[in-house]
Amino acid sequence: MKIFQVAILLGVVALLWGLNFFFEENINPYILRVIINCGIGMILAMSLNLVNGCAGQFSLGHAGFMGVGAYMSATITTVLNLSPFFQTDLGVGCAIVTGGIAAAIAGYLVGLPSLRLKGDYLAIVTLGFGEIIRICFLNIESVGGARGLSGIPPKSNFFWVYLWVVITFVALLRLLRSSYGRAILSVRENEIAAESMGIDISRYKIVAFVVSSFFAGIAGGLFAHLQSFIDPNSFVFNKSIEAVIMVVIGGMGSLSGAIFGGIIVSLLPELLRVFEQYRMVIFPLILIILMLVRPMGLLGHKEIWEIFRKKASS
Amino acid sequence: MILSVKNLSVNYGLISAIRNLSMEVPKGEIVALIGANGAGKTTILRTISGLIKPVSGSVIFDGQDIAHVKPHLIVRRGMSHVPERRGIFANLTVYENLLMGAYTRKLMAGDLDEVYALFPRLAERKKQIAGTLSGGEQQMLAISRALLSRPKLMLLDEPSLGLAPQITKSIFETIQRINKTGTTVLLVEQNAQAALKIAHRGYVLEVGDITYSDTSQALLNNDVVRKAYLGDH
Repeated sequence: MKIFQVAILLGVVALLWGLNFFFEENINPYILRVIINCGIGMILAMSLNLVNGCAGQFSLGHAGFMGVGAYMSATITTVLNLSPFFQTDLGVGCAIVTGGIAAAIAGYLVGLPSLRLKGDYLAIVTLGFGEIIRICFLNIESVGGARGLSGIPPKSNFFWVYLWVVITFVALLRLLRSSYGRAILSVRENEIAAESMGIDISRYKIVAFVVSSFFAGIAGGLFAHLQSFIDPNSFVFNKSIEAVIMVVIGGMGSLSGAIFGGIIVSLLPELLRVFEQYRMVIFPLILIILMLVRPMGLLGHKEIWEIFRKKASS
Repeated sequence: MILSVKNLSVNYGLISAIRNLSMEVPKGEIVALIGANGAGKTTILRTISGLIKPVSGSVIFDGQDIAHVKPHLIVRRGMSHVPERRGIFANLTVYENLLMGAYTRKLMAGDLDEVYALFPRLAERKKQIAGTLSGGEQQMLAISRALLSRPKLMLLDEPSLGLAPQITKSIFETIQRINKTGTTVLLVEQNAQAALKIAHRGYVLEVGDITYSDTSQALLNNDVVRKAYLGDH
């Protein structure tokens, strides 16, 4: 079993590596960029899904944690000038993980006071914290302030982004299938009942929030090293809303749904470029129609394989 | 006494819900707490299981005061609470609900079989989403889930709520069976007749105060209680 898993892992890495070469040689850079953006969208959506969908705690501050990851990793690779190692692929990878950890710490600090609140109040407080984080970056001169931070080594490519998509997916899937994951789900289902089962609900809310922030930070780091330029405006409130839309479209609490949501919300605005100035009229219209037709999101609470299994058995 | 509540007072904001209430639950018995809507029955149960913190007074469970212990830690000491309206995890399967019941300890091989023997219906439906069960089945699930933490004391909040008389009867019979295996039960009910029939002892609660306490047989024969709670004219 162990050997089997390692083999699958190596196979996936090799496949991504190969695809990376193939894409860079054979398809147009614009399309490749859109595909990579979809990957970042998927990581954002999957991570937010853990808090909004699985734990049932409505957070509107995801862009803030993405910003922490982006600025932290970019600071290491660009501002600090520590060693040439941080210009290499591996060094950037380390910086991105550090960014993720910084975002997780930020998530812990924000989550501790805010997760005492519920529903609308939690949404407003997380929104506030998201903005506070952004305003902090706006006022730190050493990371460029309002001018932003440029010259970040553009090391995010198809391989790295999709490797992280796979890592995020596997990590969150394993988490959700463990007793930890069931505890997180039970908090969403019924807090009082969860407490009477012996579940420390505040602890699990924090765990969900911290893990979610970590992956948001990773997404931020990948984003920074893709654009090679970030400014506080990259992490405005709209970005948080975008992540929420991804989760809602995909289906709250569905990991595979979040992947679809991430793709749709990243891809649609690009596909709609043929409509030129009407693009941003048509995009929301499509979202509204989608929500009218599938109010539960594309997959609802279910995972895509559960839906297929049910179809196959009936 | 496995549980004794002494001089308990509970407030919701400025409004006092329970005033200076004392009651006792002897080990191995079924104790019923009956009373009308808004008398404070659920409040007492929630205070005992730690979901609400009292203003004053103590809750002695198994020799220790747990009035200010967090609810998830009280479960580990051997008390489990079946909340009002059952509180099942509606979007999880029956099986997953049961697993959550055994959250505080390691699930043994025979544990689930025991529960399935008590409620064979749950075995048939273990892969079903719990929210799609009927009311009676949901109550069975809630009781089974509480049982899986191996409680010494089980608190039941209105198990008959919204159930047909037939199903209520069978649920109450099961509660009796659970009690016979050594679990002490504190039962809160509006259906006084059904509750007192299976209970050893009863408390009658009226707006935050206990007005009668006696063996359930005596309460069933008490004229005032009969008029007020048992629909006797």
